[in-house]
Amino acid sequence: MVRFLHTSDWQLGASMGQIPGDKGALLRAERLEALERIGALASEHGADFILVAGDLFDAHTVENEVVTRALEILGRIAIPIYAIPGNHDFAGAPESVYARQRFLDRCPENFKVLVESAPFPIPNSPVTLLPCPLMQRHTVTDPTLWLTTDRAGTGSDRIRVGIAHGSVVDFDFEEGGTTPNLIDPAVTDDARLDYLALGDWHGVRQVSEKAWYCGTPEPDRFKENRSGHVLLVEIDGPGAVPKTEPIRSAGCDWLRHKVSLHTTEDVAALKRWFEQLPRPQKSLVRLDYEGVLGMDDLSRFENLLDTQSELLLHLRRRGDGVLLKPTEAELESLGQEGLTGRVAQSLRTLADRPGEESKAASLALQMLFQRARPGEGGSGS
Amino acid sequence: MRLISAKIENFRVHAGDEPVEVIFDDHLHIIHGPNESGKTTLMDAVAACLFQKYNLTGKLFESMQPDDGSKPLVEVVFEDDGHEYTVIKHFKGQSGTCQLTVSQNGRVESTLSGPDADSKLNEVLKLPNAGRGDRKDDQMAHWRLLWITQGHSNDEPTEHINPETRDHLQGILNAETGGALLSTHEAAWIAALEKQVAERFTSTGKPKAGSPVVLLTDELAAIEVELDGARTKASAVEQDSDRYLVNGRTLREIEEQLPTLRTQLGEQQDKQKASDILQQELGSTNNELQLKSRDIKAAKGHAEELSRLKQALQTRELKIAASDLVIAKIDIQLNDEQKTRGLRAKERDLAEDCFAQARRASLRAQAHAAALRARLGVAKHQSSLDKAATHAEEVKELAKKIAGLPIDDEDVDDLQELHNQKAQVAAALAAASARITMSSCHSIKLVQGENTESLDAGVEHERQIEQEARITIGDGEASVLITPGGEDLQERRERVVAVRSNIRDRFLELGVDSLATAKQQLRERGQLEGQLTLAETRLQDVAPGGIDSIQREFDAACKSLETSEAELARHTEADDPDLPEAIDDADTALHTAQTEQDDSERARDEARQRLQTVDDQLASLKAERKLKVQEREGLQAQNEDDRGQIESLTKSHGDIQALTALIDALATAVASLEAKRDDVGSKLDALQPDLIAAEIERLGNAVKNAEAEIRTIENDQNHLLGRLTANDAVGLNEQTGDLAAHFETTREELARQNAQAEAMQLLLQTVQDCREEMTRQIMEPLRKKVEPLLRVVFGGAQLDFTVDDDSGALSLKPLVRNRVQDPFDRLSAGTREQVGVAVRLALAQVLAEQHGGCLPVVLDEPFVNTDPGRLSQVLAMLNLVKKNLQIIVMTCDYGDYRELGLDPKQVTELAPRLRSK
Repeated sequence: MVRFLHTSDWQLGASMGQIPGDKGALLRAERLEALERIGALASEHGADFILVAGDLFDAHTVENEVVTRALEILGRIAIPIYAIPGNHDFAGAPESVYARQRFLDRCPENFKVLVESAPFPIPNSPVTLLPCPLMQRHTVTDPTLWLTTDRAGTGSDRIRVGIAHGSVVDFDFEEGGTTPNLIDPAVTDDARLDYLALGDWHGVRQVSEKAWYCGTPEPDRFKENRSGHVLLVEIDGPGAVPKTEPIRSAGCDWLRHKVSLHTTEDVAALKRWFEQLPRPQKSLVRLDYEGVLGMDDLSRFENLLDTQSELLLHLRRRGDGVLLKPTEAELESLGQEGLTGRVAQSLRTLADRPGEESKAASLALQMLFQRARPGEGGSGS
Repeated sequence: MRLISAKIENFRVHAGDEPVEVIFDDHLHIIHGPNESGKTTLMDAVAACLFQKYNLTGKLFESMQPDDGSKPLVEVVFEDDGHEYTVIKHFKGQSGTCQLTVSQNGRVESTLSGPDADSKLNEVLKLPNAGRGDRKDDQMAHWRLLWITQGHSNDEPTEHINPETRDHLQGILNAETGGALLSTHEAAWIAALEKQVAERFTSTGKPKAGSPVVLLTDELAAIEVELDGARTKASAVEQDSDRYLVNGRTLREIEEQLPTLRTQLGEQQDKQKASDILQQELGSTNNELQLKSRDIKAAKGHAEELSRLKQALQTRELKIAASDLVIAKIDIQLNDEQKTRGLRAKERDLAEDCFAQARRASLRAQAHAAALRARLGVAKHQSSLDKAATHAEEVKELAKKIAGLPIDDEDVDDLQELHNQKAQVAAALAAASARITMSSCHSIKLVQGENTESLDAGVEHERQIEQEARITIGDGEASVLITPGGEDLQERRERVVAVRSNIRDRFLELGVDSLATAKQQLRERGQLEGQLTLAETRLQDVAPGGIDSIQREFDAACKSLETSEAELARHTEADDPDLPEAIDDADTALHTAQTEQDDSERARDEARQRLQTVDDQLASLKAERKLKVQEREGLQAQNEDDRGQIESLTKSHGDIQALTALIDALATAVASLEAKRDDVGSKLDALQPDLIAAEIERLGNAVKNAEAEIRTIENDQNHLLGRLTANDAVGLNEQTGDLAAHFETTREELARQNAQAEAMQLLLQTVQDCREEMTRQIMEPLRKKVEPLLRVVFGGAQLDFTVDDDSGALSLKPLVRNRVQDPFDRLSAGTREQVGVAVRLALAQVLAEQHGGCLPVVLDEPFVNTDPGRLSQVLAMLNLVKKNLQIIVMTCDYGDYRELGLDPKQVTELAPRLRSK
């Protein structure tokens, strides 16, 4: 029986989710912390080793600092870690991160990058790894093709675990092209594999009885694809069906929320939704919104978003936006006959009329309210 | 408010025993009188009573005092909003007094005096309390606007609206449209908005340098450049990497192919060597074969040449024998022909002589006939010439006579005309002169001008007296001076003298002494001209082409005769017979001679022809003989040559038998060499030498190319390796990601700022539009008041008002008439005063709301610039407003206002006041 963690697509050094500045740095740091969490999970679940199915680094051009820190964390993990290069960090190129002197100097003993397509028996283990490293960014041939040749052997006395990086779906098929690094899932049978550890897909996904994508351990976008996990794999022996269990490893929550705002209650409900988030500082929210609000509600809504922007790790605003439609009472508060009342009336007519000017008129109306309402400062901002 | 009455004592010119008192009409009152009658002073007194402090001192106070220094006392009664006010002010400097009585419906409500009275009066008149001196313009509230002093009716009326009045006015106007134009709060936020827009945008609405939109746009562009740079670099690294891998694969493939190529090249080079040896062998065999063949050809040539020469020799010998026979025959023929030719030559010479004789005879006859004809022609032309000369002489004579008579019809008419004139002027003179008849028993002396005439006594004398004349009778028994009448007698006499002188001059000019002589000459001239015409006709008949033409024809005939006689002499010899003198006989002789000439000419030509025929035959025979002789000589020469050649050929190559044996021996050797050549050729073909060379070249190039490519790729790989392993791409990934994120957030911020900016501009534009609309609405009541007045004067005109955004000051927009806009200051003085008064009347109507619906408007000589044609309209304008206002006009010309049809109580006439010292 063997138990190991299957992970991939760490994408170390990637800028995350198009978020610049300190928050972006925080997210990048979260990626490195994910490695710490993977080590802890391995220890917690008694894993014998860890398999990393490619794309440990986002590119060959990542910072040395990232390489050094990652190797330092991996060195502190007590069990062996076996990795193959993926399309982002493919081996074979002179500038490959794995050929970088910094990497060679600091690579810990428990961490091994398998760059040869040859069986690798894990010492003191019933497992033989069959790595399919990518030696260039894109290959048109199936990187697992060698597994069905004599070189891969067919011994039935060991647990045969393949590691590969690529796609099992030909996305370009309909366009008449060919997806690079395309993997045939039937290789598990053809090459008599007990498990095929796949990388490239960022969410957890089972391809066949014995082939799995584990996804990225730390999500990096608002896609709802079950990312943020590692897979705990247990295989009783050669020929046995592997047991798998996704374990949450994400440090941050990437959330999508969609609202339509028309009433005071809609704004209040949105406020409650934000308030129920358990870890706002570790949450990234994409809010899609649209609707029409009165001046006061709109102000409340804007205030709420301002507050949440500061509170959350990141708030992304999307959608058609909320238009201002002042209530009769709000309009009256500006005075019907005076200049302000007339201006408000004129702008409201423009805002109600469909067209390019509608949004500008709505915003101008908002400005008018901010400046001209009795009790307002008058200087605006 | 309405003025009811005024009573003035001791106010400037209004000083004396009686006070001046005026009771004003409620609507329209005219105060008129000549200059210095005190119209202006009267209303100045009313103004002083209403508007100035009672204890006024200083210059204004002094100016109010009459010359005698007494103290002005003014009482004004007016009504305002249902109350009647009686103001009595006694101006005495600091000790002046004031009393104000307020009553309603005849009941006195209060009586105030001193400062209280002044205060109350100011309150009623809406005047601020003034200082110690005289009241300044800005303390006059609306009264400067309504109290139009002399010479100011054409001022821009809004210049007389002070801030206080403006506020009152706007208060009234805005009350109709709801609230003030701008509240303080509104003014503040609009000013702030304008400031913000001005900070962000240029006057044309474009974002200003330094504004957020511009800063962000610049920043975005900078980020984009940086991002593009990072991406380009990342892409370059990626491309380098891919190329390195592809190069590696290519290098391996080439290195695998290279040994095979080299082996193939070696094989082809070995084949090349074998082929070269065979090629040499084939070459030498072919050379030998070529030599043998040439020898065979030469031997055959010699044999053929020998046999051909011998054959030719024989043929030519036969031809020479034949030529000798032909030459002998030609020589016999030649001899015969020479004899014939001698005979023919003699015949020809005879024929030539005959022809020469006949020809001369013919030419002589021809010349003789021509000479006869020429003589006839000369005689004929001589006769015509004589006749023509006679007629020409006649014509010349007549013309000379006519020239001696210069008078023509015109001259006679001219003389006749002068004659008539003479009769007329004489008659005219006679008519003007006196005709006297005198007789005396004494002699009479008549002195007329320079003429002195003595008349006999006892005879009746009749005389015409044309000039002053003296008649003396006897020795002075009586003397009579006669001065004939006719004012122009002298002139008539001069005319007579002038006409006579003209006639005399004309006679002298024409060489006649009278009109009758002139007429006689004219008749003679007519007869001569008839004769001349007849003579000219005769000349024309004889010489239609003129006498010169006849002369030319005569000269030609003489010339012809001369030529014919010379020709005749040339062809005549001493013993020639005479030729007939008659023309016809001469022509017959000519004909005969010509016939003889023709016959002898034919005989001569035939003789010549026969001689020529013999000559031709002779020439032909000689040529034939020469040809034959040449032919024979040629054949003999050729034979000599051929014999020499035969001898030479035999000597060098042997005779024909020897040559035949040599040819057979050479043919055997050639057959042997041909067999050898075919054998070597077959071996060579088997090696395909052409293909070998191409293949060696191809394989050599392939090896060279492969080696070069390996070097190129290795260089490239080293180069790529250097680039890829350099450290400058490290961290590029994070940098690119950061820049992309920064770009995105900046772009979003720019979009937000753009939206803000657009909204801000829209807000300001809307504010400005609404303000303009509000101003227009607020001014509507004022416009409504002024437009009817303008319509009366100009029959339709528009005038609008603007409010200054900053000061709130009211001013006039240009006057619009027939769509033409004229600013106030560009209008004529007359139009300015009409518009100015109309605007003030309109403003007065608006302001009257504060005064119970009425206000007095005082106009001091308001329409001095108005032309009489427009005065009626101006008066109609006053009529239009008089029910709402009280109009008080001061004028020195009441006539202008008569058409208003005023009641006497509406008019106050002031008499001139003489200032007394």
